[in-house]
Amino acid sequence: MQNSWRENKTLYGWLAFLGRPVILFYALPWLMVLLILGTVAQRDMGLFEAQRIFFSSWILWAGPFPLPGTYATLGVITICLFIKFILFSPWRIQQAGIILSHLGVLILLIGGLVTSFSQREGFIAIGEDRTENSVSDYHERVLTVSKDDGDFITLPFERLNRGGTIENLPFKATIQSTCENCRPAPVRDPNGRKGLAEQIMLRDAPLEKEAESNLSGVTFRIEDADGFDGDYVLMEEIPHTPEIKMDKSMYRFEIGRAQTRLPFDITLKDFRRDLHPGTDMAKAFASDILITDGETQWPYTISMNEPLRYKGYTLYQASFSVRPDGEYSVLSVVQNKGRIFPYIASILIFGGLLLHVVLRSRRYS
Amino acid sequence: MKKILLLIFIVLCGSAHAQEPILNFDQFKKLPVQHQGRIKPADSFARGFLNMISGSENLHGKSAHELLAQILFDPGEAMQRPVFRLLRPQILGLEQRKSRLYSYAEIIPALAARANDLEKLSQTPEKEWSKDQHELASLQESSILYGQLLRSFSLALPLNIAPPVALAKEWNIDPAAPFTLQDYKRHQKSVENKIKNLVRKKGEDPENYTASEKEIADFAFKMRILEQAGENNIFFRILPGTGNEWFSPWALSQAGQATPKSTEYMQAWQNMALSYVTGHSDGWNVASTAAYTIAQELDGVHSINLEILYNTIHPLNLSMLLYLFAFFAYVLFGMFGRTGLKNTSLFLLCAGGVLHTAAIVSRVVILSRPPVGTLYESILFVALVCVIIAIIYEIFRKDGMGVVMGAVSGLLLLFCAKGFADEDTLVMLTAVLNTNFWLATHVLCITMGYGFCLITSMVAHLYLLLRARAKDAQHLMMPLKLMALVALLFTAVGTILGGIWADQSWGRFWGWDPKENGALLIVLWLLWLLHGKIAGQINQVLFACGMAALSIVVAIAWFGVNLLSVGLHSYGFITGIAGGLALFCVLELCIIGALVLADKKHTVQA
Repeated sequence: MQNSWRENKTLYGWLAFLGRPVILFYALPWLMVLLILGTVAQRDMGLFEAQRIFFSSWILWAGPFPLPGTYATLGVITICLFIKFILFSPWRIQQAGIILSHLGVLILLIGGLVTSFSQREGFIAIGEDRTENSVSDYHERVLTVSKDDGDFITLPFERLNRGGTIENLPFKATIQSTCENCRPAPVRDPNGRKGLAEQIMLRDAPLEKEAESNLSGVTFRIEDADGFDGDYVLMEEIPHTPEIKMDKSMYRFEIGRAQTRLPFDITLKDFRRDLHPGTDMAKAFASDILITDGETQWPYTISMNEPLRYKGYTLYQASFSVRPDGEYSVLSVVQNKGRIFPYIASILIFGGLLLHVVLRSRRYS
Repeated sequence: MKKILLLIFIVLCGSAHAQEPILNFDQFKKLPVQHQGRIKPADSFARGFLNMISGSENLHGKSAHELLAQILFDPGEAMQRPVFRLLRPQILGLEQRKSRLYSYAEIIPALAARANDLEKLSQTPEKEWSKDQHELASLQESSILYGQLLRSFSLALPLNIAPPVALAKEWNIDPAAPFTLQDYKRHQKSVENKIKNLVRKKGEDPENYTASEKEIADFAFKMRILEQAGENNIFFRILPGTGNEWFSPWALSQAGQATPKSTEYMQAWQNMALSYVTGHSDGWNVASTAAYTIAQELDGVHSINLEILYNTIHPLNLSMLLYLFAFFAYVLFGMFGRTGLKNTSLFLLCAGGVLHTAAIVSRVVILSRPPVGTLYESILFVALVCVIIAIIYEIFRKDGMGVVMGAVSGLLLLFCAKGFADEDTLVMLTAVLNTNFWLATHVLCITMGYGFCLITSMVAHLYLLLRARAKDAQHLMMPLKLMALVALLFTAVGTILGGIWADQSWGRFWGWDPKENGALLIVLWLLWLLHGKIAGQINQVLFACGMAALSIVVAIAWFGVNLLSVGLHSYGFITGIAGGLALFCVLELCIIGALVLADKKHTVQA
């Protein structure tokens, strides 16, 4: 029974084929090609776009021709390694190093898979003596409509299509145009436009290398709203919030980064930037914070290489900014369910390779 | 502005004796200076500074610290000394000179004439600068620092201006005795009050003043100009304050952070200045010894003597020399077959390795951190790893190949490191690298991996060379595989440790950053070759070709990705080596191709 799959010649043949290193022999050069292309491409298109096209894709399109992307290539390698490890590993002491290393690589690949589908990244920019728990996404933008100061409708930027309407409003709101990276331009004819739209219109600008630097925007039309009918514009970083008053309620439109909430609050007590004496070269950055979770409070210091890990979130010191109202510490927030895998994998790979080298060198000597 | 410069120039010109004193600088060169974030001996400061402005560590038969003393204590003479190396003097309208060296007095008026161009340049992105503009900007920067050094001790140096007789009498000093700005500062308030009263009574027009009043007003004006010239003079930090930051003499006098110790120390420096100016060698010796004695008790000066030793014996240059001799000794052994020569070559290689190790250990002690934090340091470390592996290889195999590999790799890599050396190679690290744990684990592991990869590549070259010469090379296959496995061990573990460090500091294990991808490329290349061999997809010659080409993969991962100037490893970005790197890759491919062709020729003939 145990070896029944061995008796099925077709199945055995396929499994034996997949378990052979020959597939890896052909998959690895392709992976190296993807690695080199994706790395060089970062110079011109930035990391986010290069990662999307070369490293986070199942298919890489070379014009009309589909080629395996990094996910597909790594998937094939993972399947082959899994079959090899489970079914065809030579369970001998002489091969113990290889078996351990293979297990380590397998765990690393599975961890990578878990990470790529579960990792969420964002940041908190927090001023001294302020409390925050709202995490801004680096890339995802949303259009928010609030009703009387409470969030009412949130729409991802990708879903804002020309001609589409925003539902559940007591007036008609139709998307006229969107731009992923906008450039304001002066308006010649302000007729039919309201608010800021009387002065500026939004034009498409080339996308920035770093996706987080793009400033998205939207032009939308309001109808059946008494004296508020007209075209409005919204753009990130422009402090302008169109307001429509209807049925004794105030509706506000905003565009910005998607926000998520931490299950605890962070208060920045002090941000410190130490320089090497007599230079403007940073020696250390640190944020003294106070964590508040329900009734419990405790202080913590986040510094370079010393992040805070709590409730599945990792908060680490990313950068800082000086604004008119004081110093802001920028803390990156990462949620990664696969972060333990590399730690286990590194121990196994190190142990396995070391054992293999020792066994090999004994054989050699 | 020009008038002010002229005044400073005239005043400082007269501040020293025309004849250069013959003094002992042994203590002076050990005095600590805070520069670029660390405490270093004056000798290191002087070498780095002179290297920056002239491209050399000594000039006109004088060592860097002797020239530093002259700049500090005899600025009038130092202004006239040609120390600025200009590759394109025409950008300043200066005549081409064989030595290419120009003095401060020559370049300052020329730079002033191009003030508008420099202003425009400061508003243009550096990427768009031409070579001429780069040199112009760099010269301006150097001249500002040189100017700061020239005025560092203007507070304590005898001036070429005597106080008016009326003031000298009032202050009870000899008008003919040396007079310093510091002397003036003791009476500054009374002089300022006098001027205020004068202006109140007779107005601002000097025509209304008596001759004596004119003299006082003129004297006060000159003193004010000199004092203003000392403001923002912060470059030469030799005096500890109350915190970690040290101060220049001017800054300390203005910051009000003097301690009894720093005051005593400043007095010793002032005595040195006066002795230098008067050429009084006994006074100089006493003052410099006193300054050194005080300096030894200051915080952060623990490795001054070690650094002086490091600067003096140049252990890395000596190592290079020993590696060269080791190589020649082995060549001679090949020619004459004397066993003594073979043993000598191994001995020389080991001696080079010992000095090389001592140099790296010295750097660790001086910087109080693990040995690899910069690209330059990584080359030094990889070179040492290669030499050590080669020595072990030689001890086991005793066929001389270890000596050749060690000598060649050590020599070439140390030579290559010279191209990456800044004026001062002992530098502090940016905040993200400021972690001894990860520098000692990930960085050392990955650089050791580079070392093993390079030796693996050399063994593969050797294998191909033997085959090309129709000799048996089979005995090299096993060490080649073993070496490749060890290289894989270090590069794979080093890469994963790098991921864990990234997880600790940036919150993600893998971000497809160019530097991370470079490291992964080496791992994939090794995995591909080893699995190809196991799968029977590549024969021994192809396996050896791939391993020989490992040097190219390492060069791309180590240096090439830094040229992209993108990603989070911004502290490692470099420019200007693309041509050299491409040449290396092409040469390597040609060598490997030629060896394979020669091997095929033999095989076909056989």
